Amino acid sequence: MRHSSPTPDLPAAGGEIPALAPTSAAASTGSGGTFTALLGLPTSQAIELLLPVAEPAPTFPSDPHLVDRAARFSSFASPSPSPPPPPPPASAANKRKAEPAFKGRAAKKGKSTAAGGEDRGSGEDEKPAYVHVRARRGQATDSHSLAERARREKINARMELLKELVPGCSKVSGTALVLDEIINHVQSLQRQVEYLSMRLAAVNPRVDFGGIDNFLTTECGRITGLNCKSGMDLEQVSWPDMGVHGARNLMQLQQQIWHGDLAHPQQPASQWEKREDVHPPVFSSTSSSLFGYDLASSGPQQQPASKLKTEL
Amino acid sequence: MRGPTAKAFKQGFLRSFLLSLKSCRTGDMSLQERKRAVRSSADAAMATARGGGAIWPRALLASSSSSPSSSSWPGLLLNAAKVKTTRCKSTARRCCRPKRSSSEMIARRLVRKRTKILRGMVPGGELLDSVSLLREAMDYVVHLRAQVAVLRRVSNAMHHMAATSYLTGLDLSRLAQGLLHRVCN
Repeated sequence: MRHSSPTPDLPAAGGEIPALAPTSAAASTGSGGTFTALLGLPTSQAIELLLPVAEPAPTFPSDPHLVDRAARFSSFASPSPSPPPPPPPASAANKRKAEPAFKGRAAKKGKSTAAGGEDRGSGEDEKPAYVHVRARRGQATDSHSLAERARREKINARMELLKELVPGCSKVSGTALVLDEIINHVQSLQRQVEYLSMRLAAVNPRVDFGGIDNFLTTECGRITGLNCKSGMDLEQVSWPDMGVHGARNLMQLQQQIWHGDLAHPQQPASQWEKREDVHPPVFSSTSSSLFGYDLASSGPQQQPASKLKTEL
Repeated sequence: MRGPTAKAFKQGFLRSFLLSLKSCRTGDMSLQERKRAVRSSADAAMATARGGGAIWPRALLASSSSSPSSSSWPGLLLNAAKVKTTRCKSTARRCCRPKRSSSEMIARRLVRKRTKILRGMVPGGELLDSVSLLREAMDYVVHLRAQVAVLRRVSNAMHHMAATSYLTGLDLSRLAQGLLHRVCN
Protein backbone atom coordinates (compact mmCIF):
# COMPACT_ATOMS: atom_id res chain seq x y z
CA MET A 1 0.00 0.00 0.00
CA ARG A 2 1.20 3.40 -0.83
CA HIS A 3 0.32 4.70 2.55
CA SER A 4 2.94 2.59 4.24
CA SER A 5 5.76 4.73 2.99
CA PRO A 6 4.91 7.84 4.96
CA THR A 7 4.40 5.73 8.07
CA PRO A 8 8.06 5.48 9.10
CA ASP A 9 8.30 9.22 9.09
CA LEU A 10 5.66 9.50 11.73
CA PRO A 11 7.63 7.87 14.49
CA ALA A 12 10.65 9.77 13.37
CA ALA A 13 8.90 13.06 13.76
CA GLY A 14 8.02 12.11 17.28
CA GLY A 15 6.20 14.76 19.12
CA GLU A 16 5.74 17.29 16.43
CA ILE A 17 3.06 15.64 14.40
CA PRO A 18 0.46 15.33 17.12
CA ALA A 19 1.09 18.97 17.86
CA LEU A 20 0.60 19.86 14.26
CA ALA A 21 -2.35 17.58 13.85
CA PRO A 22 -5.01 19.70 15.57
CA THR A 23 -4.08 22.81 13.61
CA SER A 24 -3.95 21.19 10.21
CA ALA A 25 -6.89 18.92 10.84
CA ALA A 26 -9.08 21.81 11.80
CA ALA A 27 -7.99 23.62 8.72
CA SER A 28 -8.46 20.94 6.12
CA THR A 29 -11.05 18.36 6.91
CA GLY A 30 -12.48 19.13 10.30
CA SER A 31 -12.10 15.48 11.28
CA GLY A 32 -9.12 15.83 13.55
CA GLY A 33 -6.70 12.99 13.82
CA THR A 34 -7.19 11.45 10.43
CA PHE A 35 -4.19 10.12 8.74
CA THR A 36 -4.49 12.46 5.82
CA ALA A 37 -4.87 15.42 8.11
CA LEU A 38 -1.71 14.50 9.91
CA LEU A 39 0.18 14.76 6.70
CA GLY A 40 -0.60 18.42 6.72
CA LEU A 41 -1.85 18.38 3.18
CA PRO A 42 -5.12 19.33 1.61
CA THR A 43 -7.38 16.36 1.43
CA SER A 44 -7.28 15.84 -2.30
CA GLN A 45 -3.53 15.68 -2.41
CA ALA A 46 -3.51 13.31 0.51
CA ILE A 47 -5.97 11.08 -1.20
CA GLU A 48 -3.78 11.05 -4.26
CA LEU A 49 -0.97 9.76 -2.13
CA LEU A 50 -3.13 7.13 -0.59
CA LEU A 51 -4.89 5.69 -3.54
CA PRO A 52 -3.22 4.14 -6.54
CA VAL A 53 -3.08 6.79 -9.20
CA ALA A 54 -3.70 4.34 -12.03
CA GLU A 55 -7.46 4.52 -11.51
CA PRO A 56 -8.71 8.01 -11.99
CA ALA A 57 -12.23 7.81 -10.71
CA PRO A 58 -14.40 10.37 -12.41
CA THR A 59 -15.89 11.40 -9.14
CA PHE A 60 -12.51 11.67 -7.47
CA PRO A 61 -12.01 15.40 -7.06
CA SER A 62 -15.64 16.28 -6.74
CA ASP A 63 -16.42 15.20 -3.21
CA PRO A 64 -13.31 15.16 -1.12
CA HIS A 65 -15.10 14.30 2.06
CA LEU A 66 -16.71 11.18 0.65
CA VAL A 67 -13.50 10.07 -0.90
CA ASP A 68 -11.69 10.84 2.26
CA ARG A 69 -14.00 8.62 4.23
CA ALA A 70 -13.62 5.87 1.66
CA ALA A 71 -9.87 6.19 1.77
CA ARG A 72 -9.93 6.05 5.48
CA PHE A 73 -11.83 2.83 5.49
CA SER A 74 -9.67 1.23 2.88
CA SER A 75 -6.33 2.23 4.24
CA PHE A 76 -7.00 1.56 7.85
CA ALA A 77 -8.65 -1.77 7.45
CA SER A 78 -5.60 -3.72 8.43
CA PRO A 79 -3.59 -1.86 11.03
CA SER A 80 -6.28 -0.50 13.29
CA PRO A 81 -10.07 -0.19 13.21
CA SER A 82 -10.18 3.59 13.33
CA PRO A 83 -7.46 6.18 13.42
CA PRO A 84 -7.97 7.77 16.83
CA PRO A 85 -8.78 4.62 18.72
CA PRO A 86 -8.66 3.80 22.32
CA PRO A 87 -5.52 1.69 22.39
CA PRO A 88 -6.47 -1.83 21.51
CA PRO A 89 -5.50 -4.34 24.15
CA ALA A 90 -2.03 -5.72 23.69
CA SER A 91 -2.60 -8.73 21.58
CA ALA A 92 0.63 -10.61 21.14
CA ALA A 93 3.62 -10.29 23.33
CA ASN A 94 6.03 -9.66 20.50
CA LYS A 95 4.94 -6.83 18.29
CA ARG A 96 7.14 -5.25 15.69
CA LYS A 97 8.22 -1.66 15.98
CA ALA A 98 6.11 -0.21 13.19
CA GLU A 99 2.81 -1.18 14.66
CA PRO A 100 3.15 0.47 18.02
CA ALA A 101 3.68 3.73 16.21
CA PHE A 102 -0.07 4.16 15.85
CA LYS A 103 -0.73 3.20 19.38
CA GLY A 104 2.16 5.33 20.43
CA ARG A 105 0.68 8.37 18.80
CA ALA A 106 -2.66 7.93 20.38
CA ALA A 107 -1.23 6.92 23.66
CA LYS A 108 1.03 9.89 23.79
CA LYS A 109 -1.92 12.14 24.11
CA GLY A 110 -3.23 10.19 27.01
CA LYS A 111 -0.05 9.06 28.72
CA SER A 112 1.54 5.87 27.63
CA THR A 113 1.26 3.37 30.42
CA ALA A 114 -2.14 2.07 29.60
CA ALA A 115 -3.88 -0.20 32.05
CA GLY A 116 -2.70 -3.72 31.60
CA GLY A 117 0.56 -2.57 30.05
CA GLU A 118 1.49 -2.57 26.44
CA ASP A 119 4.42 -4.58 25.33
CA ARG A 120 6.75 -3.29 22.77
CA GLY A 121 9.55 -5.17 21.13
CA SER A 122 12.77 -3.35 21.05
CA GLY A 123 14.01 -5.55 18.27
CA GLU A 124 17.40 -6.61 19.44
CA ASP A 125 19.36 -8.27 16.78
CA GLU A 126 21.67 -10.30 18.83
CA LYS A 127 19.24 -12.63 20.54
CA PRO A 128 15.90 -14.05 19.47
CA ALA A 129 13.95 -13.01 22.59
CA TYR A 130 12.51 -9.54 22.57
CA VAL A 131 13.25 -7.12 25.34
CA HIS A 132 10.04 -5.66 26.58
CA VAL A 133 10.46 -2.03 27.37
CA ARG A 134 7.68 -0.14 29.04
CA ALA A 135 7.49 3.46 28.02
CA ARG A 136 7.29 5.53 31.12
CA ARG A 137 5.01 8.41 31.78
CA GLY A 138 5.80 11.42 29.70
CA GLN A 139 8.48 9.75 27.63
CA ALA A 140 8.59 9.25 23.91
CA THR A 141 7.16 6.01 22.78
CA ASP A 142 8.42 5.74 19.25
CA SER A 143 10.47 2.76 18.31
CA HIS A 144 13.84 4.44 17.99
CA SER A 145 13.81 6.09 21.34
CA LEU A 146 12.55 2.88 22.88
CA ALA A 147 15.46 0.96 21.46
CA GLU A 148 17.78 3.70 22.58
CA ARG A 149 16.33 3.66 26.03
CA ALA A 150 16.74 -0.12 26.25
CA ARG A 151 20.33 0.25 25.22
CA ARG A 152 20.89 3.01 27.73
CA GLU A 153 19.42 0.88 30.47
CA LYS A 154 21.75 -1.94 29.58
CA ILE A 155 24.69 0.39 29.71
CA ASN A 156 23.57 1.78 33.03
CA ALA A 157 23.18 -1.69 34.49
CA ARG A 158 26.69 -2.59 33.43
CA MET A 159 28.01 0.64 34.82
CA GLU A 160 26.47 -0.31 38.14
CA LEU A 161 28.25 -3.64 38.08
CA LEU A 162 31.51 -1.97 37.19
CA LYS A 163 31.05 0.49 40.00
CA GLU A 164 30.82 -2.36 42.43
CA LEU A 165 33.90 -3.92 40.94
CA VAL A 166 36.24 -0.98 40.96
CA PRO A 167 37.23 0.22 44.42
CA GLY A 168 36.19 3.68 45.43
CA CYS A 169 33.60 4.04 42.72
CA SER A 170 30.42 3.68 44.69
CA LYS A 171 30.50 7.26 45.89
CA VAL A 172 31.10 8.63 42.46
CA SER A 173 28.04 9.44 40.41
CA GLY A 174 27.92 10.07 36.73
CA THR A 175 29.06 7.94 33.88
CA ALA A 176 32.12 9.97 32.94
CA LEU A 177 33.60 9.92 36.43
CA VAL A 178 32.98 6.22 36.86
CA LEU A 179 34.66 5.58 33.54
CA ASP A 180 37.54 7.72 34.77
CA GLU A 181 37.93 5.50 37.81
CA ILE A 182 37.74 2.36 35.74
CA ILE A 183 40.40 3.64 33.39
CA ASN A 184 42.65 4.55 36.29
CA HIS A 185 42.15 1.16 37.83
CA VAL A 186 42.98 -0.70 34.65
CA GLN A 187 46.03 1.47 34.11
CA SER A 188 47.25 0.85 37.63
CA LEU A 189 46.76 -2.88 37.26
CA GLN A 190 48.67 -2.95 34.01
CA ARG A 191 51.46 -0.91 35.57
CA GLN A 192 51.58 -3.34 38.46
CA VAL A 193 51.99 -6.20 36.04
CA GLU A 194 54.86 -4.34 34.39
CA TYR A 195 56.52 -3.68 37.69
CA LEU A 196 56.13 -7.22 38.92
CA SER A 197 57.46 -8.70 35.73
CA MET A 198 60.45 -6.37 35.98
CA ARG A 199 60.94 -7.56 39.52
CA LEU A 200 60.79 -11.16 38.45
CA ALA A 201 63.23 -10.53 35.67
CA ALA A 202 65.61 -8.87 38.09
CA VAL A 203 65.64 -11.62 40.69
CA ASN A 204 68.92 -13.06 39.60
CA PRO A 205 70.12 -12.45 36.09
CA ARG A 206 71.99 -15.69 36.05
CA VAL A 207 69.09 -17.80 37.16
CA ASP A 208 67.21 -19.58 34.49
CA PHE A 209 63.57 -20.17 35.17
CA GLY A 210 63.94 -23.88 34.63
CA GLY A 211 63.60 -25.02 38.18
CA ILE A 212 61.27 -22.35 39.39
CA ASP A 213 58.42 -24.66 40.09
CA ASN A 214 60.31 -26.70 42.55
CA PHE A 215 61.56 -24.12 44.93
CA LEU A 216 58.32 -22.27 45.47
CA THR A 217 56.88 -24.80 47.89
CA THR A 218 59.74 -24.54 50.23
CA GLU A 219 59.63 -20.82 49.82
CA CYS A 220 56.17 -20.88 51.30
CA GLY A 221 57.57 -22.59 54.31
CA ARG A 222 60.24 -19.98 54.54
CA ILE A 223 57.75 -17.19 54.59
CA THR A 224 56.14 -18.65 57.68
CA GLY A 225 59.22 -17.61 59.60
CA LEU A 226 61.47 -20.60 59.72
CA ASN A 227 64.99 -20.10 60.69
CA CYS A 228 67.30 -20.25 57.72
CA LYS A 229 70.92 -19.72 57.12
CA SER A 230 72.36 -18.52 53.91
CA GLY A 231 74.57 -20.80 51.94
CA MET A 232 73.05 -23.98 53.29
CA ASP A 233 71.24 -26.48 51.28
CA LEU A 234 67.65 -25.46 51.06
CA GLU A 235 66.32 -28.85 51.87
CA GLN A 236 68.01 -28.74 55.20
CA VAL A 237 66.91 -25.22 55.77
CA SER A 238 63.33 -25.92 55.04
CA TRP A 239 62.94 -28.71 57.52
CA PRO A 240 65.14 -27.67 60.38
CA ASP A 241 64.99 -29.77 63.50
CA MET A 242 61.50 -30.89 63.00
CA GLY A 243 61.81 -34.50 62.17
CA VAL A 244 59.14 -36.42 60.38
CA HIS A 245 56.17 -34.98 62.20
CA GLY A 246 57.46 -31.49 61.85
CA ALA A 247 57.84 -31.95 58.16
CA ARG A 248 54.26 -33.08 57.89
CA ASN A 249 53.09 -30.04 59.81
CA LEU A 250 55.18 -27.89 57.60
CA MET A 251 53.61 -29.36 54.52
CA GLN A 252 50.17 -28.72 55.93
CA LEU A 253 51.15 -25.19 56.76
CA GLN A 254 52.47 -24.61 53.31
CA GLN A 255 49.31 -25.97 51.84
CA GLN A 256 47.23 -23.70 53.99
CA ILE A 257 49.23 -20.67 53.10
CA TRP A 258 49.30 -21.32 49.43
CA HIS A 259 45.72 -22.41 49.11
CA GLY A 260 44.56 -19.75 51.45
CA ASP A 261 45.97 -17.28 49.06
CA LEU A 262 44.44 -18.93 46.08
CA ALA A 263 41.12 -19.80 47.58
CA HIS A 264 38.22 -17.53 47.85
CA PRO A 265 37.83 -15.91 51.25
CA GLN A 266 34.90 -16.99 53.29
CA GLN A 267 33.10 -13.68 53.66
CA PRO A 268 33.18 -11.91 50.37
CA ALA A 269 30.79 -9.22 51.49
CA SER A 270 32.89 -8.13 54.41
CA GLN A 271 35.97 -8.11 52.28
CA TRP A 272 34.27 -5.78 49.90
CA GLU A 273 33.26 -3.51 52.75
CA LYS A 274 36.81 -3.32 53.93
CA ARG A 275 38.08 -2.57 50.52
CA GLU A 276 35.76 0.32 50.07
CA ASP A 277 37.75 2.31 52.58
CA VAL A 278 41.16 1.36 51.39
CA HIS A 279 41.71 3.17 48.21
CA PRO A 280 43.77 2.31 46.37
CA PRO A 281 44.72 -1.11 47.67
CA VAL A 282 48.18 -1.10 46.27
CA PHE A 283 50.73 -3.71 47.17
CA SER A 284 48.83 -5.11 50.08
CA SER A 285 49.22 -8.74 50.80
CA THR A 286 45.49 -9.33 51.08
CA SER A 287 45.04 -9.00 47.41
CA SER A 288 43.27 -12.29 47.21
CA SER A 289 40.05 -10.82 48.51
CA LEU A 290 39.07 -9.61 45.12
CA PHE A 291 36.64 -12.22 44.05
CA GLY A 292 33.72 -11.50 46.25
CA TYR A 293 32.13 -10.02 43.23
CA ASP A 294 29.93 -12.42 41.41
CA LEU A 295 29.44 -11.68 37.80
CA ALA A 296 26.92 -14.38 37.26
CA SER A 297 24.43 -13.80 40.00
CA SER A 298 24.57 -10.11 40.64
CA GLY A 299 21.79 -8.42 42.47
CA PRO A 300 19.66 -6.98 39.70
CA GLN A 301 18.27 -9.91 37.82
CA GLN A 302 18.16 -8.28 34.46
CA GLN A 303 18.98 -9.16 30.92
CA PRO A 304 22.61 -8.07 31.23
CA ALA A 305 23.09 -10.25 34.27
CA SER A 306 21.59 -13.28 32.64
CA LYS A 307 23.62 -12.67 29.56
CA LEU A 308 26.72 -12.55 31.69
CA LYS A 309 25.73 -15.80 33.23
CA THR A 310 25.54 -17.54 29.92
CA GLU A 311 28.65 -16.15 28.42
CA LEU A 312 31.12 -15.94 31.22
CA MET B 1 30.31 -17.70 42.74
CA ARG B 2 33.57 -16.50 41.39
CA GLY B 3 35.44 -18.10 44.31
CA PRO B 4 36.18 -21.59 43.07
CA THR B 5 36.68 -20.36 39.52
CA ALA B 6 39.08 -17.75 40.84
CA LYS B 7 41.20 -20.47 42.36
CA ALA B 8 41.00 -22.53 39.20
CA PHE B 9 41.96 -19.55 37.10
CA LYS B 10 44.90 -18.70 39.33
CA GLN B 11 46.12 -22.26 39.28
CA GLY B 12 45.78 -22.51 35.54
CA PHE B 13 47.47 -19.18 35.11
CA LEU B 14 50.34 -20.18 37.36
CA ARG B 15 50.79 -23.42 35.54
CA SER B 16 50.90 -21.83 32.10
CA PHE B 17 53.08 -19.02 33.38
CA LEU B 18 55.68 -21.32 34.83
CA LEU B 19 55.64 -23.50 31.76
CA SER B 20 56.22 -20.58 29.44
CA LEU B 21 58.92 -19.20 31.69
CA LYS B 22 60.73 -22.48 31.67
CA SER B 23 60.53 -22.77 27.94
CA CYS B 24 62.08 -19.43 27.13
CA ARG B 25 65.83 -19.29 27.36
CA THR B 26 66.55 -16.28 29.45
CA GLY B 27 70.12 -17.03 30.22
CA ASP B 28 71.81 -14.38 28.16
CA MET B 29 69.18 -11.73 27.77
CA SER B 30 69.37 -8.20 28.99
CA LEU B 31 67.13 -7.02 31.78
CA GLN B 32 64.68 -5.34 29.45
CA GLU B 33 64.44 -8.45 27.35
CA ARG B 34 63.85 -10.59 30.37
CA LYS B 35 61.16 -8.28 31.58
CA ARG B 36 59.52 -8.36 28.21
CA ALA B 37 59.70 -12.15 28.14
CA VAL B 38 58.19 -12.38 31.60
CA ARG B 39 55.45 -9.91 30.76
CA SER B 40 54.49 -11.60 27.52
CA SER B 41 54.47 -15.03 29.09
CA ALA B 42 52.28 -13.69 31.92
CA ASP B 43 49.85 -12.20 29.43
CA ALA B 44 49.77 -15.34 27.34
CA ALA B 45 49.20 -17.45 30.43
CA MET B 46 46.38 -15.18 31.56
CA ALA B 47 44.72 -15.34 28.17
CA THR B 48 45.11 -19.11 27.98
CA ALA B 49 43.75 -19.66 31.44
CA ARG B 50 40.74 -17.48 30.77
CA GLY B 51 39.39 -19.64 28.00
CA GLY B 52 36.84 -18.69 25.40
CA GLY B 53 34.24 -16.83 27.36
CA ALA B 54 35.40 -13.39 26.37
CA ILE B 55 36.95 -11.48 23.51
CA TRP B 56 40.01 -10.08 25.19
CA PRO B 57 41.97 -13.36 25.57
CA ARG B 58 42.00 -13.95 21.85
CA ALA B 59 42.90 -10.35 21.16
CA LEU B 60 45.68 -10.51 23.72
CA LEU B 61 47.10 -13.70 22.27
CA ALA B 62 46.87 -12.34 18.76
CA SER B 63 48.70 -9.16 19.66
CA SER B 64 51.41 -10.98 21.54
CA SER B 65 51.98 -13.61 18.91
CA SER B 66 52.15 -11.08 16.08
CA SER B 67 51.62 -13.71 13.44
CA PRO B 68 51.22 -12.69 9.81
CA SER B 69 47.60 -13.78 9.89
CA SER B 70 46.81 -11.54 12.81
CA SER B 71 45.31 -8.92 10.56
CA SER B 72 42.37 -11.15 9.81
CA TRP B 73 41.48 -12.01 13.36
CA PRO B 74 39.21 -9.04 14.03
CA GLY B 75 36.72 -10.37 11.51
CA LEU B 76 37.06 -13.88 12.84
CA LEU B 77 36.53 -12.73 16.37
CA LEU B 78 33.44 -10.84 15.41
CA ASN B 79 31.93 -13.77 13.61
CA ALA B 80 32.80 -16.22 16.28
CA ALA B 81 31.51 -14.23 19.19
CA LYS B 82 28.47 -12.74 17.44
CA VAL B 83 29.39 -9.35 18.72
CA LYS B 84 26.93 -6.67 17.89
CA THR B 85 28.72 -4.02 15.94
CA THR B 86 28.25 -0.39 16.57
CA ARG B 87 24.80 0.77 15.70
CA CYS B 88 24.54 3.12 12.78
CA LYS B 89 24.73 6.51 14.37
CA SER B 90 22.87 8.43 11.70
CA THR B 91 19.59 6.68 12.41
CA ALA B 92 19.78 7.53 16.06
CA ARG B 93 20.63 11.12 15.44
CA ARG B 94 17.80 11.65 13.01
CA CYS B 95 15.18 10.88 15.58
CA CYS B 96 16.72 12.68 18.51
CA ARG B 97 14.71 15.44 20.03
CA PRO B 98 15.70 18.93 18.93
CA LYS B 99 15.75 20.26 22.50
CA ARG B 100 19.04 18.86 23.81
CA SER B 101 20.76 20.86 26.47
CA SER B 102 24.40 21.75 26.01
CA SER B 103 25.32 20.26 29.36
CA GLU B 104 24.00 16.96 28.16
CA MET B 105 26.13 17.25 25.06
CA ILE B 106 29.19 18.04 27.12
CA ALA B 107 28.60 15.01 29.32
CA ARG B 108 28.09 12.90 26.25
CA ARG B 109 31.33 14.10 24.76
CA LEU B 110 33.24 13.33 27.95
CA VAL B 111 31.77 9.86 28.12
CA ARG B 112 32.62 9.25 24.51
CA LYS B 113 36.19 10.33 25.04
CA ARG B 114 36.64 8.07 28.00
CA THR B 115 35.04 5.19 26.18
CA LYS B 116 37.60 5.63 23.48
CA ILE B 117 40.40 5.52 26.02
CA LEU B 118 38.97 2.40 27.59
CA ARG B 119 38.73 0.80 24.20
CA GLY B 120 42.41 1.29 23.72
CA MET B 121 43.25 -0.26 27.04
CA VAL B 122 41.13 -3.39 26.93
CA PRO B 123 42.53 -5.81 24.38
CA GLY B 124 40.04 -6.35 21.60
CA GLY B 125 38.06 -3.34 22.62
CA GLU B 126 38.29 -1.76 19.21
CA LEU B 127 35.79 -4.19 17.83
CA LEU B 128 33.15 -3.83 20.46
CA ASP B 129 30.28 -1.50 20.96
CA SER B 130 29.98 0.29 24.25
CA VAL B 131 27.69 -2.26 25.82
CA SER B 132 29.96 -5.22 25.21
CA LEU B 133 32.96 -3.08 25.97
CA LEU B 134 31.79 -2.59 29.52
CA ARG B 135 31.33 -6.30 30.02
CA GLU B 136 34.75 -7.05 28.56
CA ALA B 137 36.30 -4.42 30.78
CA MET B 138 34.72 -6.02 33.84
CA ASP B 139 36.03 -9.44 32.90
CA TYR B 140 39.44 -8.06 32.07
CA VAL B 141 39.73 -6.20 35.37
CA VAL B 142 38.87 -9.28 37.39
CA HIS B 143 41.43 -11.42 35.65
CA LEU B 144 44.06 -8.71 35.74
CA ARG B 145 43.70 -8.64 39.49
CA ALA B 146 44.23 -12.38 39.67
CA GLN B 147 47.28 -12.07 37.50
CA VAL B 148 48.72 -9.33 39.69
CA ALA B 149 48.13 -11.38 42.82
CA VAL B 150 49.86 -14.45 41.48
CA LEU B 151 52.74 -12.47 40.02
CA ARG B 152 53.26 -10.72 43.31
CA ARG B 153 53.40 -14.01 45.20
CA VAL B 154 55.82 -15.48 42.74
CA SER B 155 58.13 -12.50 42.68
CA ASN B 156 58.10 -12.21 46.46
CA ALA B 157 58.97 -15.84 46.77
CA MET B 158 61.74 -15.55 44.23
CA HIS B 159 63.22 -12.50 45.85
CA HIS B 160 63.04 -13.94 49.29
CA MET B 161 64.72 -17.01 48.02
CA ALA B 162 67.44 -15.14 46.22
CA ALA B 163 68.05 -12.83 49.15
CA THR B 164 68.69 -15.53 51.67
CA SER B 165 70.72 -17.91 49.62
CA TYR B 166 73.10 -17.69 46.76
CA LEU B 167 71.64 -20.48 44.77
CA THR B 168 72.33 -21.01 41.17
CA GLY B 169 69.89 -22.54 38.77
CA LEU B 170 71.34 -25.91 39.45
CA ASP B 171 70.47 -25.79 43.11
CA LEU B 172 66.98 -24.61 42.41
CA SER B 173 66.23 -27.58 40.28
CA ARG B 174 67.46 -29.91 42.99
CA LEU B 175 64.66 -29.13 45.39
CA ALA B 176 62.14 -31.79 46.27
CA GLN B 177 58.47 -30.80 46.19
CA GLY B 178 57.15 -29.54 42.87
CA LEU B 179 54.70 -26.69 43.20
CA LEU B 180 52.97 -27.79 40.07
CA HIS B 181 52.63 -31.25 41.50
CA ARG B 182 50.98 -29.79 44.57
CA VAL B 183 48.74 -27.53 42.57
CA CYS B 184 47.52 -30.22 40.26
CA ASN B 185 46.43 -32.51 43.09
